[in-house]
Amino acid sequence: MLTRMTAPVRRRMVWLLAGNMGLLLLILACLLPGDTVPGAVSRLGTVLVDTPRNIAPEMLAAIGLTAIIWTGAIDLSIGSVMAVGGAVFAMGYSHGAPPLVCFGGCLLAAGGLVAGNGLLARWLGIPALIVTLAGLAAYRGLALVLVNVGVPGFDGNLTVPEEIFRVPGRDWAVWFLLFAVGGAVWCELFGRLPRLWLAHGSSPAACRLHGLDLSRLAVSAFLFGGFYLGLGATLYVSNQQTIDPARMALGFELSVIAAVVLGGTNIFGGEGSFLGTLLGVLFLYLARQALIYAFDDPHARQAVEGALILGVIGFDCVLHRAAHRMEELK
Amino acid sequence: MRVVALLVLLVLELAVFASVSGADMSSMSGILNYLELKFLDLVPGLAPVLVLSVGMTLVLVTAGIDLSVGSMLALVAAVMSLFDGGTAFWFTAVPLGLVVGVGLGLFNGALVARLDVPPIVATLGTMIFYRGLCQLVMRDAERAPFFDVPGYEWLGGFSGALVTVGLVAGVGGWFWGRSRWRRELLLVGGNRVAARYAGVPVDRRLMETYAVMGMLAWVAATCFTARNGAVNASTATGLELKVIVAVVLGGTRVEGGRGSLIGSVLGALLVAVLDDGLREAKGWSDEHLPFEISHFRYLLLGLLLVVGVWLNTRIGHRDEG
Amino acid sequence: MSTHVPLSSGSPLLELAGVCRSFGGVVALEPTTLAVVPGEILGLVGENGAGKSTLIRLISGVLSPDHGEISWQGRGVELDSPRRAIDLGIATIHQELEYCGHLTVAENMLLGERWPRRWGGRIDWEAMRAEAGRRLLRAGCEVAADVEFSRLTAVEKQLVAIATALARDARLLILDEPTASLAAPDARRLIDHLKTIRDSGVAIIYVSHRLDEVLELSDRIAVLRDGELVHLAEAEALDGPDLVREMVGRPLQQVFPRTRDDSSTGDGPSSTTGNVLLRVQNLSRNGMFEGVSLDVQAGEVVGLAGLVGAGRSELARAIYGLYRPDSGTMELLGQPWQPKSPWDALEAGLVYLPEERKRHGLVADHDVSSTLAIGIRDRLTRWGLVREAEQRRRVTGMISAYDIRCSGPGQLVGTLSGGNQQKALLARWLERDPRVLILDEPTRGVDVGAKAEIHSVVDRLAAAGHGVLLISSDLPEVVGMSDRVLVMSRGSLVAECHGETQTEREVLQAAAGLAPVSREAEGC
Repeated sequence: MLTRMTAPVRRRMVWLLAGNMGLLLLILACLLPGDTVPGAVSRLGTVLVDTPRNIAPEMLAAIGLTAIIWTGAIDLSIGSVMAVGGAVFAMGYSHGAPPLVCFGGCLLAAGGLVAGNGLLARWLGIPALIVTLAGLAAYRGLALVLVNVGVPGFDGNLTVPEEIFRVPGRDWAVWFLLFAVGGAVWCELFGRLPRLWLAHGSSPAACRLHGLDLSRLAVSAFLFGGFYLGLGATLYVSNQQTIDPARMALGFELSVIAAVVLGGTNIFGGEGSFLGTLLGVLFLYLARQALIYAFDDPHARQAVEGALILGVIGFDCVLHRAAHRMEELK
Repeated sequence: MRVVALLVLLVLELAVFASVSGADMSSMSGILNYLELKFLDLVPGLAPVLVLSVGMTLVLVTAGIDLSVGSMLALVAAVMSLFDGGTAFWFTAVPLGLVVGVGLGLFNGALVARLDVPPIVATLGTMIFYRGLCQLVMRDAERAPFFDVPGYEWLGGFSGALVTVGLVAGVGGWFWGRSRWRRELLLVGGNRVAARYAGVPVDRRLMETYAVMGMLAWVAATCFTARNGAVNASTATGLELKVIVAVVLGGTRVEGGRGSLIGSVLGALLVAVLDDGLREAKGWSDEHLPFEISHFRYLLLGLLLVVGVWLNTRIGHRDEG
Repeated sequence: MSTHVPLSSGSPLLELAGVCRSFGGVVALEPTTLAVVPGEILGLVGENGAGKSTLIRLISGVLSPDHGEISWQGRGVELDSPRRAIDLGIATIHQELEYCGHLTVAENMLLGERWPRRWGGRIDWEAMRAEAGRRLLRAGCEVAADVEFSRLTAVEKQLVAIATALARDARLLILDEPTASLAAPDARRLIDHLKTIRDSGVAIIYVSHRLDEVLELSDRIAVLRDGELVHLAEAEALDGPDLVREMVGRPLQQVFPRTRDDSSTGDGPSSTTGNVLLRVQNLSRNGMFEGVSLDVQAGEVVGLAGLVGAGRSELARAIYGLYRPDSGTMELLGQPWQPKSPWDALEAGLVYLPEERKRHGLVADHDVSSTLAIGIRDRLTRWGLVREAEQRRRVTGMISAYDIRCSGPGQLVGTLSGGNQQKALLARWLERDPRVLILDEPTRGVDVGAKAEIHSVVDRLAAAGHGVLLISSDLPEVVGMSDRVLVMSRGSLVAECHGETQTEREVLQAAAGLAPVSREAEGC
């Protein structure tokens, strides 16, 4: 796989590995005052033990979005899509459906919407960017309408006290994460489709010349993205006790895009790696953890996180800037 | 062509909502009475969207987009709300708000023009970032110094809003229509490479466009605070979409290179009437619909955006040749 | 006019019978009858705009003919898409290749085919590389199959594209200017390669401006002129001058207007110490051009010849201020010249007409009026506002002065013909009355009439004391229009031809990086 990655992606992965190590050390350094070294290390361990379940929804969504971005498209609506997933889950739950049905509904709803975005963009011939920007608002509205219609006596949020509903998102998160990430990496290692997505993003004209069906390729990427995002939504929903479609996963799309770009995927498509996305998500998560230790003001958190994400994306774009400009003038 | 279509839509919309709200529609005077009341109420509330959609038209013309307008408005309002009411407010808070607004706009512009971040990603980022700053400024509080400022409330009334909108849309539109600046922006949006070859300072024009957007966010913030009187950390969330939908419905293409201010103003009216109508129809919807109609608004906005862009790509080439 | 088609041997692979095509009333290709047999190389030559690319696009399925029939291996076919042509075995290799740069060579070669798999459905990358390697080897191409495609050199990309086509049973290869951006040794390599491919029974249509290559390589040569197939003969029966005569079809003197007084500049640059408008000394920019020095004097047309990729446009853009050179100095109108942006150049009286008008010049759905007005926007404005009446007046003036054929100032510029688009772009700069003009391929893709008009404009400009730097790949043009011709090759100025040495042959030799033919030129 390494030989098939382009040089910038490989370089990025090395940087990310180093960066993740650095962040771990930083968190450790924050824990050190007032403790012995072994004590701090074991506290770091307890901090990190929650990583899989906290990171799983974002990781799965990021992998899904990576595939979509590879083809040169994007999906801005994923936060709202997750809210729809949550709403469907809430509907199922409030009508007494068994956990499996609730989760299945959530997965299907979220996955279906993402795949629908891809189809709609193709069918209408307008950029995925616009379709999903519209989705950003429309699906949030849809989620709200759904919970109001489908959940009797809904008053802003729904509490799910039963432990059984938190099995996938909390207890099995590690396994979901392992299988899903493993599956994606396996696809990248041995599959043809990921390479074709990259080909689509790299040069649609070349793909057409070689007889590839561009529509099918683009829609397949959205289907793949939808499946992963649906899974992510399911884990997200089942990791928390209350469901609040108005605020659920608000702004999720940006941190996911940031993680994907950070992982070396070119925002314009054609270049990238699932492994890089994995490291990118991890980096953002660790950075956020480090922030918690560095800034104890909760009001500052969103600003600092926003600045961090902007910094990362800005840095990435500046790296391409000179080449981009020269290319433009040619 | 499009202007006529928009006007027809507007009339249809008014008719539908009027009948839903149960106003007296049997006589001409009843209709006029309804319209008068409607517009007295509508214009002040509409002012922020209208002002912002003027700026958004410029941004879309350059093939950009600005998703951070809602957050900018909130942040400017938040910063202004830190000052106490009184006459001094005019000389401290208001100019500072302008500086903040232009600064935020320039920051967006720098991301887009200097760092080459795709506009949608850059402003999605600043949308979150500015909202975060807003939270930092406001904490969990809600501040309302605005009505203590002498003369400020006038801005939020019908005549004040009309004057502001008239200044921005009318004078701005007049300048826009005849300016050399506009020609250069159209070129930047239509073909950025050609703009560079024709000697247009592309980066600078982009910076200016986003700065103007920031300035208009300040204007919109004053309109908003003058009407609502209070501001908190989640003020004006989701405003950006309304603005974008208004502009797109008005016939401005998201790919850049073409835009119409009149269209945007009509689009903003359309969206505002819709918004207002949905609020008015609450009584009706509580009886007839199983959900709150305000939630339906988001769905409708998304739908309108897709339909608007689709129509623009479809008929854009034939329209106004 | 129909031409007798001598068939060398065997039954034809591809036959065109009365195929023609026009664009919006302008005939691009007159009814043409042509056949290609297996195992031959058909050279296709003609001036720019003679209809070569239209013919190629008809054969490769990009365009459909207005009338006429195309048959493939004796059966009538409808080539309605590039895909259809490829499926039949017609492979077109353009100068600008379409490929996925971030994928490996092997993946690019096997894109759209089944990829070898191992148990469990895993792609067998090793087998893929081996398969691609086999194909490359069979096509005689020594390129590693597992490198990223964008890292290949230009000739390697061409060779891989040919190998890919051959592996898919291509029976007819169309090569469009394959050697245009290749250095001489690489071009040699490609030509030898094509001969072996021909010997294996594949037919090749070879389109090139390099007549020596065409003569060496082709079995038969077809000459197009103004959309018409004017000559078709065995290559042995032809030589260079024949070809040029057939291509041009009229004496050179008539083609290029020259009202200027030749004596002032005819002796070469050394004798004139007069009015130097633009002086460039030792200008370099890494990876683009190296140590370039040149002068443009008042009343002079200086030709800048060279192959595609020689660094001519890059040099022009640096002079125009689009980017800064790394080292060297420039003078404009006697003043030191360090432009920060093209706007500086426009204000100082230097304009640049860019190479690709669609990409660098126009917005297709803006109207003629705003396209023209943008060139003089500073002169139309007062207090930041455009004077509408003045604009209308100037635009109408430009449309009639430069004979831009449009329905009115409101017509969309994208719907104009190529020639009128180019005239519009030229007009908007000329309206500024610049002292120095850099024209980059001003007549590319322009119809004959517009071409003549542009030529006469250039001539008049020089006669009126402007300085013109004319970049052109059209050899007759650059030789015929210029007072002297500078030749660039791989980023450096390699020759200056004037007077007796100012011939197409001389210029071409120098551009290709070969020694000059005549002794006098060695001194330059």
